[in-house]
Amino acid sequence: MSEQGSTIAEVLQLQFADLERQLNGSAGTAAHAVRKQAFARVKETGLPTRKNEEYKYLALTRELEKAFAGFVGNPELAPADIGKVELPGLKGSEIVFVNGVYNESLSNICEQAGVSIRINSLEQVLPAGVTANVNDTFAGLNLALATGGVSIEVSQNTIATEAVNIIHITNTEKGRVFASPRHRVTVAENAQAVITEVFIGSGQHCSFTNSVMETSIARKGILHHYKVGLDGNHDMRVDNTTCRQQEKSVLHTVTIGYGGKIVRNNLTIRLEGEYAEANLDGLYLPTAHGTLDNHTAVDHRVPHCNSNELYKGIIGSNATGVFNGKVFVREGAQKTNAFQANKNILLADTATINTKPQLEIWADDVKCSHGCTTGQMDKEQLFYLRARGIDEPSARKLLLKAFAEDVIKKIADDTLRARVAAVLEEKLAS
Amino acid sequence: MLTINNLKASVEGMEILKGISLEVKPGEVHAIMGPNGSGKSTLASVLAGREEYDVEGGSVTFQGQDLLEMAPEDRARAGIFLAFQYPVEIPGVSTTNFLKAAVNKVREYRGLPELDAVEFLKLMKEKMQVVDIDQSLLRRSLNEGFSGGEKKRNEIFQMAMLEPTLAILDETDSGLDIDALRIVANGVNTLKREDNATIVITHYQRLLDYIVPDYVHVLYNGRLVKSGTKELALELEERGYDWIKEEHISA
Ligand SMILES: Nc1ncnc2c1ncn2[C@@H]1O[C@H](COP(=O)(O)OP(=O)(O)OP(=O)(O)O)[C@@H](O)[C@H]1O
Ligand SMILES: [Mg+2]
Repeated sequence: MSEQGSTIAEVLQLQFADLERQLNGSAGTAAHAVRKQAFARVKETGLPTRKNEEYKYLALTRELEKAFAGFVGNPELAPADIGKVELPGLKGSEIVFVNGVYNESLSNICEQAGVSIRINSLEQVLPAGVTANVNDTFAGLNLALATGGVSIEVSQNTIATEAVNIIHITNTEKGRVFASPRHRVTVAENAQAVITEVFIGSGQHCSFTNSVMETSIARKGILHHYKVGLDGNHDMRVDNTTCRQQEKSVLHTVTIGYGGKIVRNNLTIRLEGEYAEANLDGLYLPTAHGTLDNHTAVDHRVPHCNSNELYKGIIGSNATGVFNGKVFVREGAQKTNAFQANKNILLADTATINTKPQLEIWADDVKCSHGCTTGQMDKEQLFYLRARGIDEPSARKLLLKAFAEDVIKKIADDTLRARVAAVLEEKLAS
Repeated sequence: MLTINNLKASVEGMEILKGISLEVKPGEVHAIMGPNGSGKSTLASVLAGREEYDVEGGSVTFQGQDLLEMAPEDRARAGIFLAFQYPVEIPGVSTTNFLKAAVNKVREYRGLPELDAVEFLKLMKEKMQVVDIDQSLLRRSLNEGFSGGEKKRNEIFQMAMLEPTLAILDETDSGLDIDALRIVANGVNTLKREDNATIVITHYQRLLDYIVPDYVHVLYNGRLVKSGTKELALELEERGYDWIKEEHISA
């Protein structure tokens, strides 16, 4: 085993050294060069503290320092432990990573002509260009340390008939877990795909998952992308998801967050071709001292694109929700339509929400709007339902389900939508 | 069935009901009239259990139970129904959707078996006819974007579904066109039985042509200052409230 690092910087240095040792034949390759460069940048800037504007509501680095002092590597999981893993039972391909490592026996890949699914092909993928939000230090760290991942390509005019579900299992029963999965989805011209990512956490130790999902949609392509976080109370996670969209392409992306200790979703969308459309929705339910932070950025670079964004939060007692929604409309991106809404319900006086819309518009012929509401549950609505004989807990649940439904109904996949609704039901009951 | 004795209530420290006494027996229809701001909706809200109102004194007994001690949902289950003057909009919750829960909670309280989806739908179909309401309306988000008349009709539909013992209709006639008024009144009359009672709050004598009251009361400045039979409503229609105010002041 490796030496021990006491600060998070030392821990990361050791992780990187470990990784380099395992590169075997691929040391000195283009991929290795990319990693080395990325790691040098992380070392230079350091992990973001709360002084960093983008991380001002997130004590993530401090928590990582506390959680990962002396960390030397992920625990070995016995096949018996892995065998106990409960999958969410979604339709389509299931590609399962346990503590960041691809698990073939749990996975099941549906073959289809025109749909290529490659596992652990990072050495080929990395040098082929990086689209993810490398300005974010965690995205940079992922680039340096990424190990497991899947690369999905849907070729021209192909409609992928089966959804691809990427399932990340974090099991900390045997010790702390640090994982850096990195995936890529490429939707070619006129092609369509449905990709779901699920993060499931369990166990009593801490974990940190630093994931990246890079997607791109070529002309007239359609991508449905869902991300569902079922993180445990000790799980920390940063996710950087990016999408580059070409002419007339359509993106539907829904990000669901149920719990976790600290979860940060960075979603960055670049509209690069005219008449492209991006729909981004999110639902977040931080609970029990947890923080769920959504940072989105939609970059309108060319004219005639639409973006629609709706994020809703139900913030439990002693929990924190963060929403930061950036919309950039570049000079020349005329006839842009950009709508953004963020709505929050605070369930207790101890619930916190920090919400910030950030519209930067350099074009003049555009329609942009944003709105944000935060409040307690509506007393009039509660009374109305109670006056009809519905007890208070049931009335609350009914209203919260209705509140969340606006986002949940955006999930087009029936099985997934039912699962997400069922988990909401459980969360609201507790 | 309902005995209100010297009921006093305030909101935000302001006294609104200043000692109200009223006795409602099974089979009776009581009309409450009175100028704007006199406290009619406050009385209805206190009876239904709205928590912003503080009861400062007096008592309310409903079928032998201390009503003021009961939670709003228990009052509803025990048979009190308030048709709201201003029904609230609840986005994302359809009438069908929440009524199924409501009907079954009420049935459970009354010791009746739960209705399954098919039985519930059958009951809905039957009651929809009573108030001539369209099913598409019941599938939409509750009251969201409903016209004034549609909201009121929906209140009476809910009343038909829940079969209350005591219905309190707070200005259910306002905002209704002539046809809708007749339909709503007809609905109320159809649901009338020997063992239930209705309190109708209204500004217009017209409604009382359709729902004939046994008693008419005038609520003025937090007190029931005059009671009579349906002729009193006619007199109010003709003379307004000034003479009552004067009578009250000189008394
Ligand atoms: N929640 C409240 N906060 C403050 N004041 C209130 C509240 N509810 C009622 N009031 C006041 O109490 C008084 C009585 O109101 P109420 O709604 O009971 O009158 P009403 O007789 O129903 O009038 P209308 O005929 O206009 O419906 C009014 O002066 C009103 O402003
Ligand atoms: Mg009123």
